[in-house]
Amino acid sequence: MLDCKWIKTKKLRLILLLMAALVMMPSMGGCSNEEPSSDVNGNGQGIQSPVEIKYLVENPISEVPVEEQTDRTYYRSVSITGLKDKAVEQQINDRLAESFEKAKSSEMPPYRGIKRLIPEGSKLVWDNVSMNIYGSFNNVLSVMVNKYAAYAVPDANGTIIELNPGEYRDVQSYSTMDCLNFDLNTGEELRLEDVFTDDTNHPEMINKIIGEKLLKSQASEEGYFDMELYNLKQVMPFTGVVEDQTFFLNNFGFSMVFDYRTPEFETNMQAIAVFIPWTEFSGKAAVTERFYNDSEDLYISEEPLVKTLLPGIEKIDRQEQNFEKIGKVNAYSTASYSSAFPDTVQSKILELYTRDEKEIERLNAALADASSVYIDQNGEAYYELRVSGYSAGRFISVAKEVYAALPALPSQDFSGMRQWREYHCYDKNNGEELFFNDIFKKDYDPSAVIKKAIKTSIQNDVLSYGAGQKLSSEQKDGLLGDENIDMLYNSIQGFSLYTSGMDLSVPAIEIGDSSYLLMISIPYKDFGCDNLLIY
Amino acid sequence: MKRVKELIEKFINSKIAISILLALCLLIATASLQGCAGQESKPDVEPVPEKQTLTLVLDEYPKIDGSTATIPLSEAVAGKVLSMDVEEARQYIVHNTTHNAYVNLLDEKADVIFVTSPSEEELALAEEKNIKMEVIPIVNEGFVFFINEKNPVKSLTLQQVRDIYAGKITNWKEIGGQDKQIVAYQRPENSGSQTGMLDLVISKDEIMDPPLEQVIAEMGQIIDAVAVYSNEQDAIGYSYYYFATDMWKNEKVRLLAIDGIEPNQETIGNRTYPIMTAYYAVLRSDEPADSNARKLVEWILSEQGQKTVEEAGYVGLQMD
Repeated sequence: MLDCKWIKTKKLRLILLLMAALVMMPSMGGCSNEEPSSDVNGNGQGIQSPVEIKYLVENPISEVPVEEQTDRTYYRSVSITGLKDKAVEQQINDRLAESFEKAKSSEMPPYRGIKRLIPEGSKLVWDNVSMNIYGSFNNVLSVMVNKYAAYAVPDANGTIIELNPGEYRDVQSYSTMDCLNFDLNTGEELRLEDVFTDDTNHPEMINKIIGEKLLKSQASEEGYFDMELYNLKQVMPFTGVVEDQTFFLNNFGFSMVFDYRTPEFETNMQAIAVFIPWTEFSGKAAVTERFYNDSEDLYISEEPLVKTLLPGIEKIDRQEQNFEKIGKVNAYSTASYSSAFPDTVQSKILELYTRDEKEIERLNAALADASSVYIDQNGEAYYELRVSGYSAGRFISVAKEVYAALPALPSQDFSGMRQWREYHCYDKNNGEELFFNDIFKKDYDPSAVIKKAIKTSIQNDVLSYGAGQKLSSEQKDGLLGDENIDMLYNSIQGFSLYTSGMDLSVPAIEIGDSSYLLMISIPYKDFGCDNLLIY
Repeated sequence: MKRVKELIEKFINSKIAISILLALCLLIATASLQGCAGQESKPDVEPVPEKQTLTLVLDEYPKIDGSTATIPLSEAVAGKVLSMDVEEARQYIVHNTTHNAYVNLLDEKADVIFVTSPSEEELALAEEKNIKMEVIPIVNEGFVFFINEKNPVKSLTLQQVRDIYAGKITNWKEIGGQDKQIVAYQRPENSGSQTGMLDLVISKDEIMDPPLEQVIAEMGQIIDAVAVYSNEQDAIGYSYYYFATDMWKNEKVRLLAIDGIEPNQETIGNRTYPIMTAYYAVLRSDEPADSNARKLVEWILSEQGQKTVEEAGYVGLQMD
């Protein structure tokens, strides 16, 4: 039986019990000072995976740049306008200004080797601080401050060698990237964890993706083996990104920055961004759920929303190539696509990958009387077939392009280039081909927008150079006239969908012996995104 | 109200209350000693710093160059000898990669380089310039093989490894594993790891062609390239031990024992692991005996220097 005389008095015991309870309460809450992740959709349950980013909505804000330039400096800062909440807008602009001034006045960053490569006595010859909006979508704003500085450095004798005024023999440079990511709902800066769902172990996920990229680029080996990360070399084992590592966002994905703050890498005094597309996060990127709410409008602008699709991540891992010399024609064929495409799409690609033998015959016939001396001087005929597949959102587009050209014969004004293009678009989910009525709402007529785009393309792609410039006014008017435009509109051979718009293929414009392809690219916003069924 | 007061009084007088009070006092005392998470306890007494056995100032420090993989070693050594923290010392360290380091040494643009062993090309270059090099091992390094952790094979003989990469052993079941074709990944030609493989394990004539994969090249065309290791259960790959602690490798990868010896700090340190190499300090043999370059190398080989390089993540030479 316990016999603690010192706590036998009732009052003392009661007081001690109450004190103990008061002390216990905060420690039950933990010592963490982290705020819980925001949940703009306000369901109180946090954001759980899987989530799907079907499309991104551009923020209708404006960027207001301020530029200054001298012969040795270039500075560009930005502020934003367009939010209804002016306090939030000011908060963001104050932070942008602060970050810009800090970059302008910053000393040399502690890059590996910098004090040896840019020693005392070096002369600053170019200072560039440029602020740009990299991502503005789904009520998220990502702004980067790039600094690039170049120094004329002394030689072994301590002398800076100036070859010409302002041109130095020995120059060393460095670059930095500082990134600011904002939630436009609140003006607060995002933490790395805010980009992902609450149930995501984001360090583990990012580390796995980046680790695979480092492996693929042979980052632990000296030498360059990969296009993507050729300049990011490991000097020690990669142990993972850190929570406050610089990152930025754009429509296509997420990038982490490696620089002097990540000394396990050698970056040659440059800041290097490693890009990860949104789709690679497999339903764990919360940039829609956490920040965007259809029913809330943060902006002054009353313009319709502009939406973009996400680019596909299917690896283009299949390629067909062929070269054949047929008479006096050099015939090249290529096809590139992904093995992950539906079978119907892959079959279509291989079906389109068929050379037009009649065109080969035509080219050979045109050169039938050409002497060998002429061929030696001017070359032979050229035929190229290109078939490719690419995806955006839930769509896969297939393009077939053919170019056939004769060498410039003395009797001809033109090179005899003939060109064709056709597009096909498929639904990734079921492999079925899509047509106009599958992508436009029933009550919407896209013809006015398309005809305008056709006319613009004729101006830019046909009448602005080459044979088109030599046409008479009557011929030009004919090409731009309603009859021709209507004919081309009714002859649309297909369309392809990319992230922010569509391309259309129509018959090429024939001028003499040559044909000219029209590059008809129409942003989705020209149709009005709400008139489309693609989101 | 009277009843409530009676209950409270009864509780306060009870042994349970006394027990609770004692337990809470103990808990509070423990919490106050540990503090909140993230706060480190400070020692009562600052440790006495070890006396530095070599101290140089920047102007005295030899001109250094080296391989990419010896950069941390170079930084750690410079930090200690220059009495700077590593973050500051780092700003003075430039390594121009292995071959360029050898060229700089032979052109007298560097006094000492920290590198892998000289290649035939580098030896030929030295001979052409009539320069003798002293190649002094400063840390041990092992050449390791790794597989998926689910592969039941734990050890291979060196001959078995050679036979795998010569294409003579093609199925894991031949060497105690599952019935799966072996995918024996290699490294790109002329890479450090591939050079190591050809120097230490198998000759160029014997090694089979590597698995290939299609990659997009510079001009957008698809080309065949040496396939990058993919940690499936049929895979085997290789690397230097220094990089074997990469996160991606740690997760689901096992380092194979060779001839029954597992690669670790101890077996690489005492060179009992069968596939050994080193990183080296290389000097021109005409480097004066009392130069700071020689002093630096001597210091690296000292107990203090070896402790420094081990702290930087390398495996020191185990002195007798």
